[in-house]
Amino acid sequence: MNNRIPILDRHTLAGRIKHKLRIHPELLFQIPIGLSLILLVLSYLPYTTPLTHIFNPHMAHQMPNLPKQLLLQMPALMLMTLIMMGPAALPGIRHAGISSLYWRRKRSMAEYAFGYLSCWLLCDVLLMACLMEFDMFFKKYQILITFLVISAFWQTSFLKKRFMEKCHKVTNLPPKGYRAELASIRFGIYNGSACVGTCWPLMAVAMSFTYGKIIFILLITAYTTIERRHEKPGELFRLSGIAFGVLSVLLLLPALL
Amino acid sequence: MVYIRRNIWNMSSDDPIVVSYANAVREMQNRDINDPTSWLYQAAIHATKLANPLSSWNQCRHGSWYFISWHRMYVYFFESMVRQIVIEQGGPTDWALPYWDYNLPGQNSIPLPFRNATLQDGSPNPLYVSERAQGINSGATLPSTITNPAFALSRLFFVGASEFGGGKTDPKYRFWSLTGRLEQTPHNDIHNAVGGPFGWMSDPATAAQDPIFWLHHANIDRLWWVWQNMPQRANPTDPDWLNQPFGFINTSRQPVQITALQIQNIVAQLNYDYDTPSTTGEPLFTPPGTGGPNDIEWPEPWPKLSANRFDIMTLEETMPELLGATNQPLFLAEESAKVRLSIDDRALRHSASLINQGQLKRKVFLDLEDLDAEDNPGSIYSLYLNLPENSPEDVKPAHHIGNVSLFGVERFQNQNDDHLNHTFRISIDITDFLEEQAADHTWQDGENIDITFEKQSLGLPAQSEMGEEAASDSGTPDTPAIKIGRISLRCE
Repeated sequence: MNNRIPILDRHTLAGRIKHKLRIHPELLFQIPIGLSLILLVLSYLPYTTPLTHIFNPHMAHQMPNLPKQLLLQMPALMLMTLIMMGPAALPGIRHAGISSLYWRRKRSMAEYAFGYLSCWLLCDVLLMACLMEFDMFFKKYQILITFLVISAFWQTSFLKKRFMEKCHKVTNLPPKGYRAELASIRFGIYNGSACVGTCWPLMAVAMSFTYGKIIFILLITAYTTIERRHEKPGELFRLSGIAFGVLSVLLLLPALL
Repeated sequence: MVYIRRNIWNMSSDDPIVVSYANAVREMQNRDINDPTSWLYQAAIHATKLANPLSSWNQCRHGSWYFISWHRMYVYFFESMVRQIVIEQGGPTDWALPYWDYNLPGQNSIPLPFRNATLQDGSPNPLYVSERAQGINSGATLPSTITNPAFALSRLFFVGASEFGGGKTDPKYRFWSLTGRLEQTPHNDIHNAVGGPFGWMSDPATAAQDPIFWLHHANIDRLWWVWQNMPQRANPTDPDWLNQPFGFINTSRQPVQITALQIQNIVAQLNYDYDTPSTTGEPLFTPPGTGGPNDIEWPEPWPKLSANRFDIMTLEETMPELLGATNQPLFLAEESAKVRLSIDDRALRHSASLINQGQLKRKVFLDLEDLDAEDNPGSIYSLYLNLPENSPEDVKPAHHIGNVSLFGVERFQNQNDDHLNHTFRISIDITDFLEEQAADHTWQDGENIDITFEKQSLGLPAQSEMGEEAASDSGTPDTPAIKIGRISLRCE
């Protein structure tokens, strides 16, 4: 007697989605990333305030209360973090999912994402606070060029490579119990802090742009995603370092001339 | 002309093949390292610790589906070079590299010509290396758990971390963690057993400096040839594997490139063969799953076999389901250790449902994840599945599922290798073992699986036979513990 459950029909859209989500559970986490991106793009439509203007340090310093300003900018910062660093977190989210029992898979992935993005949010708040302070003493292009130069050096530095290795490092997750919950968050924090170490100058550059910020956010998002997934990113580091160096010189030339 | 690689144990110490090899090794050792035909240059092609290495050095591939093919190429070019030197020295024109079949009875110790520091005339023996495990040069015997290739030969598929040849990897990487079963046992295990904690053979950067390395790899190559010619086996047809070129130096000292497509048939394409096709002369293994019953009473709640496994082997994409794992890392330093893996009931039922839906293949794997040690400890642990307490020796083979040894672990820690951080892992397909144990009711509890680790030791000869080795023995040195980050069971 054949008592088998019918094989999942992968010819229907629902069947395909269900199958895809089972073998790639991390895809679920692309939904908030995609929604954030749509929200950002929509905010550039006529008669709306671009979200990138909200977290513009050059405008923010006009208000004297720094903590209050930072607090007001938190939603926009979270959005930017999700867009820029969410795709780079997907491999780690997948590892957390694969390494977990099926009934706590989503929880484990969410815990990882929480740990990972928390590190970035903290970094963003600190960077924003620094930029707000700098903005009172330096011109906008000076801040931007400074971070471009820092990025150029950072991309080719020994430290960048070390952080990147830690960014890729996976840890063992216990199967269940409080150890499993803690381990997933710790794993997210471990990878997240390493990724902050890897990419903080790029985030600072994205924040420092006054014009065309959305384009640079998208460019840097694409770059960090490729960098994270590239198995041997040494060449990418060098190329991007040169690109940042050239860009800083190009921006510096008009000021000198 | 087809050159025949012969079993070293069937030759006497004064056989022209052995004497010629020794003379050629001596000649190569005397050449400058920058000469491609020198001993150190050839060894460095595999790996070296030397600073400022040449671009043709550090080329070996391990933990990858390229392991077997790259080493066939490597041994082939080395053999051609040695043959040329042998002929120049007036040796046999049909000289071919011998192999060491450690799995044959009475041949599980290092061959006699490699043991003595000096030759009969008092001159240094070029085949002798003092940097070997204690007892090896005195004739210590290797346990069958590490010499037996039966499990590797039983694998029907080439590609996969728990299959014969290893998992698919990027050709750029020299060390990866998708070690095939032949690479693990006997390959890695023999390296560790001969090298011990501090010997040359235990470290990829020095292994090829030991003249026994080449005979060991000739045997690994022979085992691949045996596997290729067994029923239901086939080499990969993936163009990524077939057409990937690797660079070597030919006998004219010129760089050449060769692909796996050019080394498929050792007789027709490479002009060599082996004097014997199998290790025992008898059928090596009955392929699992081809003649066994399909209605095994698995301990509940293990899923019943609901379909012929081979019908659903071709699923294009799968996602493994974790069934259970250890909570904490295990440190192996003692003679033995035992771990109980609890199977999660909900995960098991979920997997059973996926198997019934055709989304899983009903294959069960035991994974040893994140293996690590400060250095390669040179030790080898055998793994036993559901081994009862105080089992006699004759019961153990039925429970033996594989070995743990960390040949190459140093390369995973090499910060300057431009490798991203990936960890050493071992993956063993235990589906057939569980089926067998379920069939004969030796595994009763379906919710737990016991894994026993037992350190394998060499059969040391009597103190009186150990000579200098016994005199220099200052106690067993402390070897670093092996850390196993997690032991897990997954269904795929």
